[in-house]
Amino acid sequence: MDRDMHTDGGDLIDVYLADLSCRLALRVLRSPAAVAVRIVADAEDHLREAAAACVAEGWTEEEAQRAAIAAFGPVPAVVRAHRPPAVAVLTTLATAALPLLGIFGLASAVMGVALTAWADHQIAPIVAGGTLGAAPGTTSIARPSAGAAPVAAPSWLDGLWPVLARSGPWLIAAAVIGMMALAAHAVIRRRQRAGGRAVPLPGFAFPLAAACTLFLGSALPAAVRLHLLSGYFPGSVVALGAFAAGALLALGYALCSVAVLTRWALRHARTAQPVATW
Amino acid sequence: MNRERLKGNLDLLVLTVLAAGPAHGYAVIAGLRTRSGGTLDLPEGTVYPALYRLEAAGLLSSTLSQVDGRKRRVYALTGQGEAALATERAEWSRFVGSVQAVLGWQPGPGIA
Repeated sequence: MDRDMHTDGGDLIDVYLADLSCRLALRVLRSPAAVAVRIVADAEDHLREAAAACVAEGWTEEEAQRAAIAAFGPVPAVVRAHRPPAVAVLTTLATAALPLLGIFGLASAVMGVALTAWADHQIAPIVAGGTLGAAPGTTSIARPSAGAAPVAAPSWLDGLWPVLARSGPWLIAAAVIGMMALAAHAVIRRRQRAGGRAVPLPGFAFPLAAACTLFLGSALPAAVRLHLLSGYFPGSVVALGAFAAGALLALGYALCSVAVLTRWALRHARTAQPVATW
Repeated sequence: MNRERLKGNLDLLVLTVLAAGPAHGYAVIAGLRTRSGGTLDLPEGTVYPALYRLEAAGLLSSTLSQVDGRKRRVYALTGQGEAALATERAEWSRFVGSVQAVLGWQPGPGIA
């Protein structure tokens, strides 16, 4: 049966499918696009066959399509029926949170060490060449007096080992937690795929991940006192790295969210065309 | 028939229909209606989530074929699905027996 797939010249089933496709597309942040495409394709096959069966019994094409659509159910009911259970969504998110935690832990350790060593390298010469404890009234850091031995600027690597020695347990803990989270995620996903139960990630995972990483990266420094110039608190290195890692990850996830939404908007700009083109 | 009661047993009904052989969604729904004598009344579109859920759980498998220029997905029972169907049937039989026993309960002597 030849038919026009464009709703402006299409039949009742095309109009129904276009409505179904648009309503499913509005849930792009709750379910993957591939699932929506499958739902629309199955609906088209079902409606066409149901209408053909009615036509075979002597109904007109329009009557047959109306009956098929009525028996299939209104679009809002069909969309609601495909809503994933909250438990399944939460389980999927929890599984997807593991690699996020893993990357966050490892990045916090690495960035904490790098930033702290860099800060020591940049700030230490200023501190060493300044006049800490100068006479009252002195408001600026005085230059070393003539004849005094010049202060050798430490290399970046020279500042690295003290940082590692100072915050070793915290760095190891962050790295171990990160690696355990990545390993757990790999095991879970392998079992899901082996059992044919690979669960697609909901579309709203990107903005949620951005918010979570930014929160974790900000909460850790807020919970740990930062002493960047003196009196390092043992956890401040990891906290500094966590803040930097959280900000970068949040930016990355936010950009991914923008890309997903932009792609969705461009794809559905022409609402006359149904998404399913099978 | 009460729709909520029907929804709660939809998986068992779908597995039973597919036990007779592979079928696509429309054929599954038509089979449900035929075998129930027309008493099973659910919007046909709401049966597909059950098919997707059973496939995701490994109880069904699906293959794509081309029919009249459109793609058709045919579902079939897996070995795991056959085992699950046997278990569900046994549990349903026990449940029905228990309910029938209560509904047909006869008071004993001395009990009003």
